[in-house]
Amino acid sequence: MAAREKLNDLLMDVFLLDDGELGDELRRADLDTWDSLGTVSLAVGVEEVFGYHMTPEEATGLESVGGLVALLRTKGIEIE
Amino acid sequence: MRPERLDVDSMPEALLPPVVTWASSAVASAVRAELGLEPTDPGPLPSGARTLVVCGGGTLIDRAKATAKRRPEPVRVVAVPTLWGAGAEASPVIVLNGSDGVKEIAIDDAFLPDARVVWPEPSATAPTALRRAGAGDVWAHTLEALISPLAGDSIREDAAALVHELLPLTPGGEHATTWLDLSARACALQSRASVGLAHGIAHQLEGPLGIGHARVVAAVLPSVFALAVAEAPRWEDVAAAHELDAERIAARLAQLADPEDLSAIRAALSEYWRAILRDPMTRTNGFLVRPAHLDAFSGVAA
Repeated sequence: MAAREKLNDLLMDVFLLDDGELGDELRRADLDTWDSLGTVSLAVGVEEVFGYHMTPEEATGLESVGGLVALLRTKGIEIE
Repeated sequence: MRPERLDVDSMPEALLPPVVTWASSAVASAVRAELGLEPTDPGPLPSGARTLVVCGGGTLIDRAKATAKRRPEPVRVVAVPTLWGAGAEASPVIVLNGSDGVKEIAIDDAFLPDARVVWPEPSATAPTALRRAGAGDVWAHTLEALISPLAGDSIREDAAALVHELLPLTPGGEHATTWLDLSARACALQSRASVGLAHGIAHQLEGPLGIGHARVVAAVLPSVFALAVAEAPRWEDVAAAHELDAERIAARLAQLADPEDLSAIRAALSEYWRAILRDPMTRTNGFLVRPAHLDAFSGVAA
């Protein structure tokens, strides 16, 4: 499975989204499920799927899906 | 900060008069006969009260904590759990059942009881099924803390030590004093690391199904633990670091569940699964709980 597909599956499961809602422009402020607990779930999911353990500062500093993609890229995880 | 641990014999030293006593109906007569205290109906405390002794389960103890500690001049709380599991006597968390069916959850160190009393007799004579379910809650607090994403090394070390102490004990078996002490320690861990999927399921199902919290937790914990071993990113490392044997733990957990509870829970899981996924307790689980994980419970019924 491609990295983008893995990321989309992860986001759908963490934030309980449908396919159509996904995109790098999706912001934390747009989702009621991207709250502090959603941030915890996202960090757990990123570690499961990509093997990268986000620091609390990285996880709480994310403001959008694009921000997550950019963070993962800096860790050598390329999301097409 | 932990509540002072007292035995029944040393409890009177902790009671600053005037003392008010609340007791669940199951132990009211024993409270009179063995503790020498006169229970009154739970409600507003009389002005001037300085100590509230509460003998019962987690629900009554949490109500006592809220009542006593929310007063302008807080009253001492001496908590006497009548069974292990909930651990309310050692927790800064309160869970209150609202009249509208919605639970109020609050966390504050101010809610910690001032003392917890180990009174093994009521636990020792409780029905085996309740003792076993309470053991499930102790196990769940321990295992969910062990792999919690909010836990640091110190919490994991404490949780792993608890696992080693729990393993030799038959769930619901003898050793009431030991179970009460382990229950308090497990709950103290839970208050620092939160809980996970087993509690998220219980939170959503215990009301609609009319099955007590500990019974739901005990019923689903074997499946939740199996998922954790397969999915939790840190299980392998934690298990290796603390010499934890998943098969041995699973064998103990398999002794927890009541077959009738299992059937009722399985029948309801699919209807409530989305609410379970959104439950705050599920969202601090040690692995990401996904919609597809519902399938893992298909064999949960006996």
